[in-house]
Amino acid sequence: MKYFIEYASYNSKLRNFDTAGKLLLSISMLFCGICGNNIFSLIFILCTAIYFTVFKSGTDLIKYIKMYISPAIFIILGVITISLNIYTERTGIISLPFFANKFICITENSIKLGVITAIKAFSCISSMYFIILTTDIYKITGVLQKLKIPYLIIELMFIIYHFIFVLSERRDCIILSQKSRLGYNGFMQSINSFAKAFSSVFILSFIRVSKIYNSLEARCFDGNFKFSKTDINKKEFIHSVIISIIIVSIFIFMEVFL
Amino acid sequence: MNIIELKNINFTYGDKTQALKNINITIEECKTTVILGENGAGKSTLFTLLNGIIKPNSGEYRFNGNIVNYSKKELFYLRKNIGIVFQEPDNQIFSSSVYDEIAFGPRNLKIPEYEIDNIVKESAKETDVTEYFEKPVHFLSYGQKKRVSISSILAMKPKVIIFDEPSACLDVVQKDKLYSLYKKLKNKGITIIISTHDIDFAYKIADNAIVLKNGECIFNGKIDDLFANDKIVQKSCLKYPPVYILYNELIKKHIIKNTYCTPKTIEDIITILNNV
Repeated sequence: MKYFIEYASYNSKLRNFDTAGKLLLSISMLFCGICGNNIFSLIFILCTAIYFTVFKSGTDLIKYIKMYISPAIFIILGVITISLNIYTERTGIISLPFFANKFICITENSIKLGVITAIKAFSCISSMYFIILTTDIYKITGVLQKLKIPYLIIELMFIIYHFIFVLSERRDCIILSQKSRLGYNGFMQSINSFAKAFSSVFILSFIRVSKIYNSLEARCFDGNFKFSKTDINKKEFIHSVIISIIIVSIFIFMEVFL
Repeated sequence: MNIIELKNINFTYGDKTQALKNINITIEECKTTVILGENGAGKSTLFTLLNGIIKPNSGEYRFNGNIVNYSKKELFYLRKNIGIVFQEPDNQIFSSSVYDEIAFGPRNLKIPEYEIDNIVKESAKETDVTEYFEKPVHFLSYGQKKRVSISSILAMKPKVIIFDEPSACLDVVQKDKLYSLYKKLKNKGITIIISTHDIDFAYKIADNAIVLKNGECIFNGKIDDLFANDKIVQKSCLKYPPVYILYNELIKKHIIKNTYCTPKTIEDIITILNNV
């Protein structure tokens, strides 16, 4: 699962499709997801993104679903927070006494708002998953550079992306070494080992980062990363523009009439 | 001609560990020099110093006859001309694709993009990594990563290439490929500096040797002179290369005569035996 993003993008059927086009499609869906307030239009965006990522690109469905687990936890917590409201009188579908004559109530509206927020979040996430699971990171940075996105943002994106791997590789090495010496036998032992792994992962990563920096400096690194520029395939880009227009039109139609 | 000259170089780390003590060495141009020594002898520190990543506390460092003054311009020139292939490719490879990794150095040298493409293809061809151009670097094997890291240095077209433990963790096939690459680089007139614990490998490829012990240089000269000097070999805890031992035994037993041209490989000895 660790390298799933890279694995999926490298093996994607849409890998060689124009990056700018895919980015446009992804951003269009993201924009619709953010602006949408209708449950059906949001589901439409979610399904479209899943269709492109899983069926068109050939991403492994099980692993794709697993990618939603971590954001789902936060989204569910958010939905619960939105759905629960404090009132001075009993109202809504469920109401539980709180304190000082106040009640925790779940109303129809709050549930609807919670569900819409959840679907909205999932549709936005799926739009972003579409681009990252079908395109190599260096192609995305190339297009962002062409689109004149501030250099600092591209650089930050690249560095964060790289150091996620550095941290996760270090963590895996430490955990493997602990497991090989029965470090996770029993609850207390596991907590102890995890605490030690947590503290040393940053120190070891820091040492590795300084070694990486030395290697960059040795190759005349002046503090600015220089990325390859990605060429735009006009034909494929026009294809993407048409698809994006269709998606946005359907979305607007659903927003207005459903 | 000496391309690198170090005079009375001292370097101490922040934790007061004196890594280099009064180092006086010369490295000949277009020759292969091996740096031998135990772990912690100061080999890696010496390499980072040669590339200008660390600055000596005292002493004089001359590159190409000029004193290195550690100005920004001077460091750029130094790093352009002295490339380091680090021991661990994971600590060197930073980009998300093989192509970008190889292009990293030339881009820093401000070479135009159309020229970079040719340079990248050329240097990737040298180490046989062209087929991995678009592959994410995390998917490469250790040997492939090592070749990519060598390619990324070749792309900068340096005059000197430093290899830190190049044969470590490589299988026999990869080692042979590496050996062929050294020969190719040497023929191109590139000065090669190698740090290794593999005496056999060092003996096979090197013209000169430098031996470090506890941060001090105890030998700087021809590799044949090193193994002819028992005291130095013992002091530096080195072992004689099997080919060297075999050759001397054959001479002692009067099976072959001293040719004064020491064989470097088993194949060389076979050739001598065939001529007997």
